Amino acid sequence: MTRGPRKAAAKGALWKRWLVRGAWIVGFAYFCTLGLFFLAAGRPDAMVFQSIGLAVMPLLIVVLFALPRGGAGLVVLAVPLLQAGVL
Amino acid sequence: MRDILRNRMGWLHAWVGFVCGVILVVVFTGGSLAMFDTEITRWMQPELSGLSQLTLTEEGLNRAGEQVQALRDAGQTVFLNMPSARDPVLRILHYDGHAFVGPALNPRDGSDLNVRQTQGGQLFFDLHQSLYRGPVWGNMVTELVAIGLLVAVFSGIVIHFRNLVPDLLLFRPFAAPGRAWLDAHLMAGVLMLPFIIMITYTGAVIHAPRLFPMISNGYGGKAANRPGHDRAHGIAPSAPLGPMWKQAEAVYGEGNIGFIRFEPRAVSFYRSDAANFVITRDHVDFSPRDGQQIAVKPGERGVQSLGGVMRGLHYARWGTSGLRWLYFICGAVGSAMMSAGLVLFVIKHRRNHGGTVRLAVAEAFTLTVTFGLPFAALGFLWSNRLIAPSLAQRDLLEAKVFFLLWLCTLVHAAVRSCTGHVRAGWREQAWGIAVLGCGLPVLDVVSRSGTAFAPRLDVYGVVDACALGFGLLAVWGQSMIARSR
Repeated sequence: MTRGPRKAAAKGALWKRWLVRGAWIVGFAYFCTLGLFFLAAGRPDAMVFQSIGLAVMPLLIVVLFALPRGGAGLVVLAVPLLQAGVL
Repeated sequence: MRDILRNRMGWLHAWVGFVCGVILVVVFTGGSLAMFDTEITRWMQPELSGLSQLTLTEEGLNRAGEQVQALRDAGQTVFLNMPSARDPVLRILHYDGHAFVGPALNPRDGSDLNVRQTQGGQLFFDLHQSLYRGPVWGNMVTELVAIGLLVAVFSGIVIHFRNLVPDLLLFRPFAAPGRAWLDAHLMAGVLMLPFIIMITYTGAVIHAPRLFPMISNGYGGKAANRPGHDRAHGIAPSAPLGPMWKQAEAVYGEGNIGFIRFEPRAVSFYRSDAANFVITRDHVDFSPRDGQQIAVKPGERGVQSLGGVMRGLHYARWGTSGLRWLYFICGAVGSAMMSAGLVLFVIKHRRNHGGTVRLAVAEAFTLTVTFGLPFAALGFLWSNRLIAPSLAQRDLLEAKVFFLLWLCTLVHAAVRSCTGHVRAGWREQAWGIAVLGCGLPVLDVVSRSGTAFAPRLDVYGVVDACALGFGLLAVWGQSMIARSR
């Protein structure tokens, strides 16, 4: 178990890592939702997709934050492909 | 701290919850009060207290139409709000940037009732939807915090997934403060989970165009349907409104006309939002020259009406007063849940960061939104009765009193936090709520002496009772704070 100054340094590093990761994840989720809105634009059921997009955006943020680094990377690759496939 | 799922979710829940929570408490408190915005406006216009339920007549509507015509000739963009069960008078309204304000008319003969100018309950509506910062930046911030709340809710579910049922049942108000606040946060959070997800999601969808401007045609119906600038003031309706009203009621049913909008080429009678669950803004258009019916324009149907469904769910204008009370209670409990979360965050960080400026700022904001906002809201109601009714621009003055009082609570909280007496700060602000809340019924009776003792349960009695209830709750709350170590 890490103790003393090393513990504080490790904790600080983890905090900063999570903050940076959070910023990346929020940006990614925003652009995914934006992409969905662009792809759905002009369709008669665009509103359905937009509503789904707004529900999925916070879920995506939580899922990406929950996944370990490798898993999150796979999701980052999979989501745009999924968008292209569905629409 | 190990990098495991529970810790990651805990970090996300705590920080997103705190940063967004400070604003969300304001949004939820404002929204809860805005459920009764019409009733609060009536309370803030005591001149209406002597009126019994009046029936709208064609003569009253025609005279109101003449007054609208005069205002339009003077260059004002106004619309006419029809009487309803919640608000039994005719109102000529215009948007002042924050609220729809204007004179109230007797629906029987169209005479001016000379009510005092006030933003009334719409101040809380504006605070709820845009933090009183206008429809662009204010809406964008509320949209961002709505997404933040959904993130906090989902991460909270992941953290407590195994204990959702015990969390629903376990509440120990007399345990150590940290445990008691956590129990309150978890119990209220689990109990109100469906409501919080529904109201946050529908709110996020309604204001989505602010965060995603490219979908402005999808859900931005409210802004688009607001009466816009009328370029042709000279072309005003010369035909009387009474016969048009009868024809419009033949289309939508008796008492189902919400408001009348005046445009250069048409006078539009809009179906009331209370008439249907889905807010579609159906309307009947008439020629302003001869009063002939031009067209019946239905709103969006099918999948296109999804935006109206979201607005219907969020605003609940179709609901009975019982449903509005349910929304109010759920919103107030949601607000309390978030306040408890803010307090938990502060307690947790007090162990490691006690005495720092950062923590003092966090404590000050927590106290200001939790107790400062209700204090300012009660002060707003007090100002309504203390400011002279005939004073020019008194509605803006009332709003200034509200924000000034709120600022005072922030300064007070900051001073108390920085000097290490935050507990005393909580008690003092609780006492402030208690004094204003318990004193409001007395002020109402004194300032409305002519009609205050009428034996009926009206909006005045209910608002007084609520203020008294919150005052007594604050007395109990401060005694709890005093007792806890």
